[in-house]
Amino acid sequence: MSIDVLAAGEAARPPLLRVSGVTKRYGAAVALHPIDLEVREGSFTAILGPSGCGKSTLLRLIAGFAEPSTGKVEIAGRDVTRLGPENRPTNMVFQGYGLFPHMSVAENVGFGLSIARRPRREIDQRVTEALALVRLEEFATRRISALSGGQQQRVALARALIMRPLILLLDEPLAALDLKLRQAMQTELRRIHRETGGTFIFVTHDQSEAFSLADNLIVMNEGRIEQAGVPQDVYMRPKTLFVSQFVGDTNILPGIRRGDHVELALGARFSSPGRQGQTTFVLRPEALRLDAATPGDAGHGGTALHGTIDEMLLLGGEARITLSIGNGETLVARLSDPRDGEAFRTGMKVTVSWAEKALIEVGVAA
Amino acid sequence: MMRIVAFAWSLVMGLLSVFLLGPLVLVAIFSFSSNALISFPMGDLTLKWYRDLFVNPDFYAALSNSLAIALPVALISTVTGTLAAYAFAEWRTRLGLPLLALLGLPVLLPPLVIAISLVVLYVRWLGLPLGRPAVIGGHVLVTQPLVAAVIASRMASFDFTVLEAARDLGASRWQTFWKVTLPQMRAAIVGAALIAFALSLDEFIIAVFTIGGGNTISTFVWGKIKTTLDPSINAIATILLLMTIGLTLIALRLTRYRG
Repeated sequence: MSIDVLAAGEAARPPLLRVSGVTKRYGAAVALHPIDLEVREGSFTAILGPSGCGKSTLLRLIAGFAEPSTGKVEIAGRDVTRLGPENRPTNMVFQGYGLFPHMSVAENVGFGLSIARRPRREIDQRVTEALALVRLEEFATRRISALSGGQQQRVALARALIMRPLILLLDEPLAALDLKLRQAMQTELRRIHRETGGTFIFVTHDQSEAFSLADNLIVMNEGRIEQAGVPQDVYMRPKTLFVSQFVGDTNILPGIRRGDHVELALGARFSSPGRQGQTTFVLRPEALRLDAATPGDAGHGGTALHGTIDEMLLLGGEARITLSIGNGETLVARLSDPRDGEAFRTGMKVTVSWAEKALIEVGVAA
Repeated sequence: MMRIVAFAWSLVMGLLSVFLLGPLVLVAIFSFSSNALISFPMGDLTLKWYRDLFVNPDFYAALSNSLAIALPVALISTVTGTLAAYAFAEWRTRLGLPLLALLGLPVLLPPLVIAISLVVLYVRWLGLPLGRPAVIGGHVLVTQPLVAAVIASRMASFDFTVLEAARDLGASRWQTFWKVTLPQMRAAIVGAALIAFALSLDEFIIAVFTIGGGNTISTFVWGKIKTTLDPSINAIATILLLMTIGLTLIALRLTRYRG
């Protein structure tokens, strides 16, 4: 009952951003196939994909730097498809920041408000607030060239946030920073998102960045949205082979379904009704369980196979083990506690098993 | 051995510098000499030749012509050259560089060829009278490519993201140009204008062909050489030299133009 009420409430309130049927062509080249997308208010959305997948194009279409070839972009129920960037309730943090080198930090941050001809006092006050939000109060009078990369990033953030955009767009916001700074900035971004309560959409090719920031994940490939949803859900239940490979490591297991049973090329056989013929399953490395013993029984209701350890990588916090399973097939297992790995040696014979629900069918590989 | 080679090279370079700069230095020195001929011994120091110049109405006519030409030349070539460089840079197409090179063609042609073609163009084809506007047109032809080159080299290090950032923050195209592009380009533009001004000021061949009646500073000097070897020429040369060097120094400093 309560679910019904919630659904009704959701329907009454349109999503903050709705992209419907949007395509983008450059001459004969198709950058975006028809894209449908909804982003609700207050979310932190990541558009994740390899370079050239169209994610930046999509962001630029939302910002107004490009016009879609077909389709519609709506923000807060208003059609903004034909509006330029200066007339949209969005602001962007650019990949190279695009700060104005001839202005001070405060002038950069106040630029949008001065263009909007706000009174001097209001500008000064809001600049102070925005700089406080990104923790750069001390730097107001500095020149841009006197700032580090991380500080410039914060100025770019403050300059966009001061406009109180309905949607803040970030194009690879952390790509130019080194690892330590990137992690610190991720924490900062989460805090700023929480404190402003705004709607953030960012583009990235780095899945760990997407997972650590976003509560809504959109995976793109070759101009299409492959899957959208809660990050954990996308990871656990990838809909396509691409998603399973791009989001985390995976074992790809081709198989054939005959009747109600599937037989994997690895040799495992299990009950699974569905479309007949060739199919593909994926299996996350951490779902594999290794046992040194040579048991005759499959034990816990899953599938068990025999294999030989080919290679062991101890990566500090985890162990990665490559196994060969007879007939030329290999599997990769990940043990999140490397101490579990100490029992194994290269060349050892082991039993590998997994729970059946860990197998995700992604259809026939293209 | 190495030392001897190094010394020989320094000597060659030194002599070459003397050979190239010597006449300039001599001209400057003799502009202060009381001798009527350029000869040693130098005679007394005097400012007579400068005084002669400044009481000569022909000199003023030539100077005012030169300024009336150089100022519009600097203005026009700066505007057109800047716009051209800006457009080529903003398109960022493969066409940009060839177009810029095409625009620069007049610099590569011998000035004599340009001068003659201009006269033919003005008189035969356009039916325009020779005179100041004709010289201005000719000078713009050769100064504009240099302006474009200076601006284009500045553009090469221009971050175009700032333009999108400005638009994103609500600025119109026009506001973006005035508040973001121009302030960053200002030094290069002023420098380019000074270079154009200096080039126009001492340009001779195009001026002599297209001025019709009257003189610019350089044709005035030429006229004087033809009649008498009057040392006031030295005075004019020294003035021109100082102006050109001064403007160029300021321009180089402003633009940080290298090459």
